[in-house]
Amino acid sequence: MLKVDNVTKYYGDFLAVKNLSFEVNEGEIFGLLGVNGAGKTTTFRMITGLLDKTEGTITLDGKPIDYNVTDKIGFLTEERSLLTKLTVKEQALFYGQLKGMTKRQVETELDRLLERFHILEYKDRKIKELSKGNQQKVQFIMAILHSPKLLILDEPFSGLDPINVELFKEVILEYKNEGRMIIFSSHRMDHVEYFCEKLLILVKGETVLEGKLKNIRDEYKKKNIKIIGDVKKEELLKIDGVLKVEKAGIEYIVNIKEKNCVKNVFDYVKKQNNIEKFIVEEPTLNEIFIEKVGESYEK
Amino acid sequence: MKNKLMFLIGEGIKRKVNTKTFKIVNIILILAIPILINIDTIIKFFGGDFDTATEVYINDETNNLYDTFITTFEQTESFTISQTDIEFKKLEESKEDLENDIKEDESKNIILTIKSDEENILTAELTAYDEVDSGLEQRILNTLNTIRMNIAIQQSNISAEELANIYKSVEISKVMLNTEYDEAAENIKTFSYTLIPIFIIPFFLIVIFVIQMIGAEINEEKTSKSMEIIISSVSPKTHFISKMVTVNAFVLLQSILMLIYGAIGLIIRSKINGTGIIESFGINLNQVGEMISTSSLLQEVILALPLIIILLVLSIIAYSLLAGILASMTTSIEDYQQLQTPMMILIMVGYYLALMASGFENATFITVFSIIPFISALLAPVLLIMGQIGITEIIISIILLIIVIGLFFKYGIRVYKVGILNYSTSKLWTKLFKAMRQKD
Repeated sequence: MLKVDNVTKYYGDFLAVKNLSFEVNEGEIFGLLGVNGAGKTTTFRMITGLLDKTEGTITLDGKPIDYNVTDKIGFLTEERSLLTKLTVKEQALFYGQLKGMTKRQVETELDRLLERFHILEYKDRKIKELSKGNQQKVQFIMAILHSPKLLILDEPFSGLDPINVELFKEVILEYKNEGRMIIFSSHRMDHVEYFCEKLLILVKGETVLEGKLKNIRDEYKKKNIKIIGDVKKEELLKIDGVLKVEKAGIEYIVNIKEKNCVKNVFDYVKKQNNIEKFIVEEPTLNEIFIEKVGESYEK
Repeated sequence: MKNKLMFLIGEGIKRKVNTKTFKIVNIILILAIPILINIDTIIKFFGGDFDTATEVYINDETNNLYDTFITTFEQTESFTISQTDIEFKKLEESKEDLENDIKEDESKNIILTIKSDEENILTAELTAYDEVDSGLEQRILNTLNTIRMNIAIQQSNISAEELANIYKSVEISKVMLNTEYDEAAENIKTFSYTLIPIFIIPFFLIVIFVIQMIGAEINEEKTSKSMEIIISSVSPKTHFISKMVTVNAFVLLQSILMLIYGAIGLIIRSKINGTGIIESFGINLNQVGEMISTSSLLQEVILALPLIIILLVLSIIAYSLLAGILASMTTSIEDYQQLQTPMMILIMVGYYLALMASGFENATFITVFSIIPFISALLAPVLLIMGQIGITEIIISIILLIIVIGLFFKYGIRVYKVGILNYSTSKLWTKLFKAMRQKD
């Protein structure tokens, strides 16, 4: 288990992370979210041992993070972290052996992963000659080459086409099912919703939301009602509890204050003609994120 | 950690040696260095005007001076460096025919007409197509003067002893009041002035090479963000040491290879000339041995040689550490190129002071600079050769360098640890000084 306990990090007088605490269990994907400059990279760097904490503790399987533990961590950075003058094989041999693998282990595992990601033919090609998407695949392979217990994925789908996004999703879920711990960070909330049971949102280094995604949704009172039919936006807005009405194509999306307001909207809609759709939906993570982050910025 | 350090060093050297650039540069060097060492032989091989001797046809109108001229010329030439570019021949055909041949062929051959005037005084005439080499003309003139003098002596009945006294030069004996004066050392100094650039330039080039390579290595890993992956596996200290060792080992390897290429060139030269390697450059080994045995200064220089080597090695280490620390603070190779300017200025100060030292003997300013780290490597050995400083000053330079290296290592690692993960140039110096105050 990865345990981040009450961790604070200062750069001089600047507070980068304040009293951060969370746990990632085996077989769990944890979402660490936040806008740019929220403290995510600092957190990743502390977990991977690149930065010292000002306060607090970080342990992996009960052991504090040091160079005996970091070999069990795989890190896919948001930006490219590859020596592009090297070939894929040279890069794998360099990173793999640095993480304690033997040359033979690297070669065997590399072949398996290159095949899994359909880029075996690029094994002896220089990384700089590969497309952006293939470079991202190579970067992902480098992060998982040494079969890490903890995998940190910072924007893993960057530069990928939809087909390869699906491939990455499959591999990430395989890793989860193998019992590995995964920290997932992305600005794409649909991806976070897809993977993460638990998440944490950072704003200016402080935790503004944390917990299981289901609980977060439940606690978030606002709901959305999707309607297709002969309804009028102005009349919907007059209903008690309706906060906002948007029209997307032929569909109206009615944002309501709380679950109790559904009845008020339904009472109006059932009197209208040609109603084809009336669905009450949970709020998206994107909405929750925007609202929570927005509130914290206003403070 | 030790294994990872060795892995990083091995991987770093392997990666450099496996580059196409390294291979191509070494192919060029293995050809260029022996060629440069044997360039005189190569030039001669392709021939040219220098290669064919000038034929001097002697038209002896006195009918009795041809043999005298040849003998006298050979005697005169025996006192000078061997000259083989003249071939004397007796004019057998008519002078006019030969003149026509020279004119027709635009030949560089010459006709030397030796004759006596009305007063029986020796005169001569040189006939050539367009010009007569001034050196050749002087050598013929010297020979003719000697012959004319010998004839005059015979006619005046002056004895050989009397003549010797007339031409004997005045002897000047030197009396030096300084009992420590070493004449051989003075000769060595003169000899050393020519050696100084030969000694300084390779060191100068090695230091620049090391500085640039360390900067490029660290910047490449930093800008590609691969530094983050590497530093998550090894400590910044291990990474820092690995960079220092890798670059210096690579420079050492390249230097050894260049020495081998030089040795190949020298062996080829000695085989072509059929002499020893040193002798093939016209250097007399006996003279060099004599010079060493008679000069107390040179003996001191030889004794100080291990210390000089230590000073040079430590200086390269100090420059490497400084380059590594500065490279960690920069965010691109362009930034680093600007930041390496102070280091270049330090090297240039050492270089110019070393060149100027001979013009300012015993200058306190230059002597003080010779013990200052970074400058001492270039200046101290030169001053030692010139006898302006002794072994004590070299030892002081080494001690100061060790202190500087220790400080660089202690505080430099702290800066390096912060610098390699810093991608912003704002408040760079504040960050640097804060990092230096942080404890490990």
